[in-house]
Amino acid sequence: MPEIKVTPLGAGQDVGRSCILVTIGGKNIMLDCGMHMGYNDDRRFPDFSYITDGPLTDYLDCIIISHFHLDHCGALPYMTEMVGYNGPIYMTQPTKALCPVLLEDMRKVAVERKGETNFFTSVMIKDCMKKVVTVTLHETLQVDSDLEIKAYYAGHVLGAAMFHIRVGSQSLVYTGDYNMTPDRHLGAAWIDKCRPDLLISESTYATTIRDSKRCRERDFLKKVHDAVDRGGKVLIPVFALGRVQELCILLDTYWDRMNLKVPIYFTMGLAETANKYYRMFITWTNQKIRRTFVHRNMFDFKHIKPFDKSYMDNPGPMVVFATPGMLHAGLSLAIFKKWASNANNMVIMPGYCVQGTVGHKILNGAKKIDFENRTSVEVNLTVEYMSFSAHADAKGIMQLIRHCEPKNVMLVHGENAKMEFLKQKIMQEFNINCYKPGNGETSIIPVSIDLDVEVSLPLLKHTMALPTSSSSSSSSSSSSSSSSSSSRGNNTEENRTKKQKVLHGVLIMKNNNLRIVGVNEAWGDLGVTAHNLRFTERIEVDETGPVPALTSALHTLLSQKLGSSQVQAVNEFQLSVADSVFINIQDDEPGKTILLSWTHQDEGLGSKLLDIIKSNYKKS
Amino acid sequence: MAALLKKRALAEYCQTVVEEHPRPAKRLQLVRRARTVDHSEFSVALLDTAEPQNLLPILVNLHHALPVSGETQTEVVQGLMTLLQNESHPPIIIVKVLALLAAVITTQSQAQPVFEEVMTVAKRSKSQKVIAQAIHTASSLSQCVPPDPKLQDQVIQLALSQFTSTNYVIKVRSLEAVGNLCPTEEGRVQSAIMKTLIEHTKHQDNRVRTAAFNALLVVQEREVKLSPEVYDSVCQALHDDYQCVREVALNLIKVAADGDPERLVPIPDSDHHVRLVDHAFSQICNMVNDISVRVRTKAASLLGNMTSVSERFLAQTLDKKLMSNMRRKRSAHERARAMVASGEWSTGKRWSDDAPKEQVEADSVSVINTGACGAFVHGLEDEFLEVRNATLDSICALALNNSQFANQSLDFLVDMFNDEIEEVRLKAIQVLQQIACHITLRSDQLGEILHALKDSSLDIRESLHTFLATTILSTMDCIKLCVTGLIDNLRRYPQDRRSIHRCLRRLGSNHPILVEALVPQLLLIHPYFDGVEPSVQDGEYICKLILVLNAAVHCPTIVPLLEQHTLRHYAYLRDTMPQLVPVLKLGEDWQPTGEAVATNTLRFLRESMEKVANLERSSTQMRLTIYQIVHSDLVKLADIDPELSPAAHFAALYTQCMWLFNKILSTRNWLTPSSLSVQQSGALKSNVDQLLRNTFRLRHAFTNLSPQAEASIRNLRVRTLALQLVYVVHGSTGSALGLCDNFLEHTEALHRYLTDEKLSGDSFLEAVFEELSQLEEPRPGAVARILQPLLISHPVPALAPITNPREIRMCSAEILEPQPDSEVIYKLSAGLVVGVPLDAEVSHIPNPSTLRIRVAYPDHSTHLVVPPKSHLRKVGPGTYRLLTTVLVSAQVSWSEACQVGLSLVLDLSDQEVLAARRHSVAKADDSATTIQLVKPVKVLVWPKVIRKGV
Repeated sequence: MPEIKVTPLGAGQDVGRSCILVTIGGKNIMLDCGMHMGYNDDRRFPDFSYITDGPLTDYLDCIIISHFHLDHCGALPYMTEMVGYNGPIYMTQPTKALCPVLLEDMRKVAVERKGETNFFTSVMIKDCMKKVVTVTLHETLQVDSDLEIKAYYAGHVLGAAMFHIRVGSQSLVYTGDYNMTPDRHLGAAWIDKCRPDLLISESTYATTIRDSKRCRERDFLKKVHDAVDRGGKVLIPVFALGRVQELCILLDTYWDRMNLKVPIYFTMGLAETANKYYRMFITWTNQKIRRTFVHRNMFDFKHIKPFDKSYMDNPGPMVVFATPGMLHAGLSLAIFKKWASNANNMVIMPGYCVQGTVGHKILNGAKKIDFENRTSVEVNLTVEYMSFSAHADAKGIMQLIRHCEPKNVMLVHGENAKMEFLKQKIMQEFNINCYKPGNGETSIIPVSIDLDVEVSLPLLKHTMALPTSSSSSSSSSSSSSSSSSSSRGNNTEENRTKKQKVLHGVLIMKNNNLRIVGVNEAWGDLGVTAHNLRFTERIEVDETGPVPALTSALHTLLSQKLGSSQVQAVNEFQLSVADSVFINIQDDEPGKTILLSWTHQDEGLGSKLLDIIKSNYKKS
Repeated sequence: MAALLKKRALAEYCQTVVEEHPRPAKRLQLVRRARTVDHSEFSVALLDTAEPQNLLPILVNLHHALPVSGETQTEVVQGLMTLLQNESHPPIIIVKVLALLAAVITTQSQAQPVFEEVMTVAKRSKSQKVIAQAIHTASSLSQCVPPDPKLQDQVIQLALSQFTSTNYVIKVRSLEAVGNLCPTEEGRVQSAIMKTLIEHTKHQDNRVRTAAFNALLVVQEREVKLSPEVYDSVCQALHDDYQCVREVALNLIKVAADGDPERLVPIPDSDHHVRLVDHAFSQICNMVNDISVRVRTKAASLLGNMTSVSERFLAQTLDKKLMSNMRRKRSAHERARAMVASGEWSTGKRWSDDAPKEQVEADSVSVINTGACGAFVHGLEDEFLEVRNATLDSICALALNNSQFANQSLDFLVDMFNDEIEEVRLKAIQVLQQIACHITLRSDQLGEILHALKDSSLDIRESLHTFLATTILSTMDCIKLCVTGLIDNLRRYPQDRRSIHRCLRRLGSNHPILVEALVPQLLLIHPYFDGVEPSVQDGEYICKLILVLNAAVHCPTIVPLLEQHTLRHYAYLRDTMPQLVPVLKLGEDWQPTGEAVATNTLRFLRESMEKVANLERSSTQMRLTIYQIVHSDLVKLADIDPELSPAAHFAALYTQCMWLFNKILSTRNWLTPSSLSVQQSGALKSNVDQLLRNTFRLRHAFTNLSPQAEASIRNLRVRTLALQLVYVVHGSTGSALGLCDNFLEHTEALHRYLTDEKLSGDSFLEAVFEELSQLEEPRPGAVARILQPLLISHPVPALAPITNPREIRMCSAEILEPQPDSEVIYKLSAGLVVGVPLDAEVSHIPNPSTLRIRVAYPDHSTHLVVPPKSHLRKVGPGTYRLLTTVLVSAQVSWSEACQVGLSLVLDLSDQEVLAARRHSVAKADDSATTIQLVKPVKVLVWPKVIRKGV
């Protein structure tokens, strides 16, 4: 069937829990397998029972993970180990390195702190990672004989990739999360003009056009500096990976330049492990870090020290990076509770907050936060939102679409209302279809299918050799390419190769492939004997002379009309025209009879000859 | 079973071996290896004789041997022609021959006969490569000077006929040929060519498309007017899949826009028209968002060349509408501007000021960039520094012509100070400096700019200093900000002192009125309380003084504001740093006396020299005394008057040489040193050495001398060498052969110089020439015998009066870093190296490549280090700044930190003294061939033992 079916199990008109099922060219692919941060029940994982109850191996050809954020890979161990999946999982090298670190951290939070049961174990994470196949950028990887995938740089976080998936002539690009503007440690997403049938793009910032990053950076630095100057403490909740490294580099270089002595802390453990990997995967970073790392690796921070819980109560200003980023649990929440009541302090939310998290609440101006254990906290500290998320803004999304020129676009990973705006824009600007299915909704994208047909070489050569005689005028007018009707000699030669030609042959469909062969060849192949259909016409003429005289007269006549090469005298009584039409002349007292015989294929020529002969040798 | 096995085994052994005929030894085929032809020994004869398989290497060698001249050229052409006529050669040979022909032949007379042959080859050959090359060769032959239109016509015909080919190489070559040869006057040929070119811009092969556009570019450069149709197809080509096509299309668009800027182009889907140059500009702007870095760079750099673009489009390039959740948002730049306009100060505490404002209609938002919108914004945000740099250049070029655009771009340029790559930051500052005349800074912008003074890169800080020195500030607060920023800079980076002083000097003289209002604040002057007198050692105070004093020149009302001690300090500064502090019109009391003396110094110099010159008759003792007095006088004079210092040094050195000469010659028994006491002979030897060093220095350290002075120095040098020769011949047993040769060489050189300059030598030299010409063989003994009486009979002439005392230049250097009294200890592991940063200013060196860093270790070993050329920056004519790191090392560990001397010298060992060096006259001490430019600066270095087990 010439169509691509896409069903989001998560991230359809929603942010978080990215999980998209795609059926393309008969292959089933799962794009990302994330969890939702806002929920603590079953809703946090995608509903795999949509595919089937029980193991999924038979129903999926492969899983592709775009990057290591938990909303893109958090459900992976659950799916592979608890639901059951043994097929290949594809991700890039840094993602494979960092993914288990994050999963393990999340497991600890869930199991050890919240005391959840029925959660995946460390062993499961390990087993899951064993199934992973790594992909390098721009490397085309054959999943099986039909399906191939290729990764492109996506910015966003270390190791984030966009995937180009191809089955036969159908293709789609899944962007994961991406960033079209470079930042302090990552480059911009890049894709070539691959013209896929479908582009599945994230749309977190579908209705935002951002200021230049330098302004944003300056703003951020100014805010932090001012807060520190008035003796306040600054809390920056971050996810352990991604933005925190960006902000660390930013603050570290700023502290260096301003010669500030206020301590900067970041949470030990996770972020430190992550930094280790960041130092290793230098090739995935931006131009500046790649150039200077021999001199000094930018991820070896000068001013940033590891955080200890006891520092929380230290007097005096400090800047703390704490996980997790949406203030929904863990250390960042603990620090927030402690600092929230002091008006001197500040919390800077550097990224997007999912609904239901504390971060989302305070950003919306909540003055009092209630917690599960019936405690509550006054929010007196200043709350700042700095858009430091490395997602593409509306301009960036449009730019990516322009670069890869897809035939259809699908928006996922965004809020419905915002997507609607962007959808309208895309349809308006590019004049292409745009989809935005909700979770569990299936979009069917029709694609034009290209069929490969094999044409036999003799037939092609034969057709090419045929002179473009009578049909040339019609074909040249139909071919739009050679619009220049110049009649100069040097053009006709070139145009001949470009000119469309009609090809007569037999289309044979056999063993799932198509072939076009010449008629005779087909007969031979199929073992069919040819039936010839001939038309015969007798024309009686009043001609008294000997038969050979009439024959030669006829020969000259036809040669004049058709060109001498076409007409051949077989013997005294017979002529042949173009090797297929026969003319017999019989002596039939008192006149002569001309017997004209042509095959069904030569209908045109035959009737023309008939006209010529009839008009010249009219029986009186 | 076992028996059977045994039997079988035995049977094996008693097998009869039929002796085979000894195999005939494999016939050795002796192949004479083709002689590999050297590039140098290419000969035309090889072309005729060589085997066909050896031809290619020979031809390649010929290619390397190019260009050939005169005789050989005709032979080569002939040889190549015979090769060409032979049809049996493989195509690759023919291709090479054709390529060579194009390269060898330059004149039209030669091209004529060859051309015919090339044309026949093109017609005859079936190989597509040959045809392609033949077209290329024919095209270049027909362009030989003077160009022959007849040949060109033929080539055009040939090329046009070859377009039927399907091979891309032929097409590309043909396109190149017709592009190059397209006639400038309109006609049938031209229209045919243009038609072909335009047709091929839509060819299926990207290489052919590129070639077609390139050809169009060439045609356009030959001032053939391109049809509007071309422009349309170029605009389409901007969306080509291949970056090479897009790149050349960009070039062509730019050229087309230059050619016909005012033509009106319709806008699709509307009945409006825009100027072609504007349309092209917006097209190129679009390409700033291209996928390929190369195209983006090209587009960004092309924008700068389109200065005739209209204001409306130019303003758009810096435009970017922001929105957040469908609500219009103001950019940080706009907010800052509004803040200043409303008279508020940016406190940084108003958080909600970036809150999104009004709701925008979904339809009114244009998410995709069309036209010029935001092109520069994108270019500046690009991932690659190449693009960002190109964008900065373009902004600079456009802003220079348009002050409004300059002011608009200011915010963006200032933003670029925050770039992560230093190169870009530096460029941004440089751009800002270039457009400084167009802009007036707001204080918030200035704050951002001054922030960059904290940057650790010296280049950035210094260019910022230059920028601040040129820019015009609008308010008092700006000046204050500036001064605080600069003083803060001085505190952070004391090495910037000189640059900051210069900056403040200009700042003061540029804004006298604004500074005046600040004087009480800056100098802490209280209306009725006396402040503490600041110390003149205080760097910050000196900075402020420089600013105020320079402003005072243009604003006389400042002077009465100053306190007594300030005026005293003025006098002090006027003495210590006269180039930074101008002359103020003050009362008698405060007028420094330096100026009054200035007129007398010259006279003093003259008088001193006359004193020396008038000593002919006086006694030796008298002379010696006077020489010594004059010498010390002149050295003091050099210290007093910086302007005359080189001349005074020059004269002093010369006088000292005269003293030494007299001293040596007056020593009794100087010719028989063996009869002297140890003390005497030691003194004699050191005198001779000193004399040699002095004359060497006179000879090389001074430039801009008059020919007379130059001649007298050379005379003195020769005389010194003569003295040395005589001294060595008599005094030591060793061979004086080298010395003698050296002397003769110098004498000859001097003779040549004198005849060239039409000067006459002094009496000593005349006599020497005369005597030497009678000498049959210049053996050291004989020469010394001649010289000895001459030395005594012809006393050293006094220095001729210096005609241009103020123009004489002496090479000198000043080491700014490391500071001489610094107590930093450079520690290193013995055997490894440590880098000591060196910052020095070198002036008036004749040849910078002779500059060396001399590292003197405590064990009296010295090293001469060649500084990397890139570390030497030219500041002015003959003046360089050396910013480098000197590597210091020691093989063994020292028990404590010791002083290592760093100095700068000129190493002239490979110039004049080459001969001396060759004859092993030079001593272990390198002072004979080097000129010290500056006194060594001592740094403490401490090599420590390598820790084991690391």
